[in-house]
Amino acid sequence: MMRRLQLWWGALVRPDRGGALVLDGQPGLELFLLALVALLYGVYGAAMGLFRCGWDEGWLMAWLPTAISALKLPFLYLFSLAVCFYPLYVLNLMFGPRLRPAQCLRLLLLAISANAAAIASYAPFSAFFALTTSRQGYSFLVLMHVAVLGLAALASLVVIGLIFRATGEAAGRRARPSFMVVWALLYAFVGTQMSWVLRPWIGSWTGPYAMLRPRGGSFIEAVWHLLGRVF
Amino acid sequence: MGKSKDDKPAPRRRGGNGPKAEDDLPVESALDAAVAERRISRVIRRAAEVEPAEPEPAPACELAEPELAPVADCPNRPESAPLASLAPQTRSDGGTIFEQMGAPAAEPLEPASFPRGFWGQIDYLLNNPGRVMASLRADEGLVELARVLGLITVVMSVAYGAVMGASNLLLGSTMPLWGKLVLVFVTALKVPALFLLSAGIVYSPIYVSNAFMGARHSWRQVLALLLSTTAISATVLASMASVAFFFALTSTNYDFIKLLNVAIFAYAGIIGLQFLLGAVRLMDPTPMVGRRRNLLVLWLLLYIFVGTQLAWVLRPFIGSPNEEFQLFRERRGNFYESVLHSAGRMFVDEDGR
Repeated sequence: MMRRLQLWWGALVRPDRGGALVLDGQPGLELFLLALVALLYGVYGAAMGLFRCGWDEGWLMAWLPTAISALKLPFLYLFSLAVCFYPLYVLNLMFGPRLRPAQCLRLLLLAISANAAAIASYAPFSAFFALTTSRQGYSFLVLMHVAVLGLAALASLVVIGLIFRATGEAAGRRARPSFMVVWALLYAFVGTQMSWVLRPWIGSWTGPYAMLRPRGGSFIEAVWHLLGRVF
Repeated sequence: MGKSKDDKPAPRRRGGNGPKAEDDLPVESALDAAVAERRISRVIRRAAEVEPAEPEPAPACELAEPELAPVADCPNRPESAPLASLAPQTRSDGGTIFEQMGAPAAEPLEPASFPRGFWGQIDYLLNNPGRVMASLRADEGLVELARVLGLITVVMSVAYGAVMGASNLLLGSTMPLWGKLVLVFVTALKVPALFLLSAGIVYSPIYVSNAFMGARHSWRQVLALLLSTTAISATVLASMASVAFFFALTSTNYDFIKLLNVAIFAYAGIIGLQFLLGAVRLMDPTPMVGRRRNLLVLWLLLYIFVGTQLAWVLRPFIGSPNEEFQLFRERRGNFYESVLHSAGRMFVDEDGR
């Protein structure tokens, strides 16, 4: 276990190692990465849901929002990956380094684990603010989560880019930057819609707690209408 | 290349006979060794490419993974071995994707040899478009090839069509349930019809104008060319089925779903036309200049125009939520107008914003 963790961390901080790991693989690596990603996102999801928890609403509400958010955040990232996997694999055959499906899966899991690690590193920070912000401070908390997720995404994108390039080099084929951009765009397109479906993430104190809201619209329409209302 | 069995550091270190600090992490040191080994082999390969005098027919295994794949293992690692030899690095940057994928290179490629089994054939098509182009050029075994490609086209587009038709099940429309279920089947048949009919319509103009311009392609070549285009398009289309289904599942907006499907079809079509361009360039013995090049552009426009018009004639594919079940709609409007309307409805509020 420790050895796998070391191997994983080494692959992230030394992308050429990461490229070799993606190509050659290790027995049981995929499952390990899957569990690790779920755990790391779960930690941050728990910090997200902490805001809506309240002892005064009964024992259930003391832990349920945190538990639900801790389940939803890994689901968001892993389900988006599942939806995108086959299109991404075909894109990789068309534009990219032409990895085999197993290699492609390892590359995606490694990339997403970099993002998960970056996000999970902010979990204590977010938990601290979730616990110390008053119940009227919902909009502050939303902005803070957006800022944290953006910062973590920026930090991880650099590493992910390096891993992509190292994988292409290790395979002896050039991975074009545009290839990674297209991958990221498709993943983000599906991911935003998924996050829209899985709302609420933080939960405001203005109404009763809801695990999920009714389906309808799409992320893009919502943003468009929001912009229309602002301007 | 100049690589003997002596410089294989990875297995030795794994044995642990060196007093190195990395010995407590044998896997990582093996990875490092793999990195170093690949770098060396790349430098050697590049050096070999600089000298055009000796085009070294390197065994594919060595190119791929020298220390982890001994020669005996070669057939077990098809993922990198044939590909590394397939993509000669002689071509400079800036080519289209399929040129980069290794088609019109200095050394001619082997004609395609499709494996048995449907999924293996799809994988082969996506991995070796250059070799499919090579067999198009060589005009060998094209009837068999056309059969394989036709099957791929039909199966993949039926799969996507079924998903597309199923969107209506999830849209919350007023159509009765039987209509929605029938629509799944109807759309599953309409998408392959779209591919095959548009290829059929452009077949004769391409064949005749090509012959007049001096490129004497046989009817088999043109047939296999068009079918390989549709097969690649349909496979790319089917690869997006999961995305289309996910959005149908989570969105209730008909215009959004429609525009998404148009975008997915456009993506699939562009990839297919890229292949068509690459193949035609390879099949032509002379460089494409002047009128021939214009002709090629004309073809592509013709193909796109026929495809969109046919899609318009065959509609509905998804089925508007406000309409009854129809096999076909009446002839009215056109494709481009409808796409613009949908975009307008989606992005402009009900109150006309």
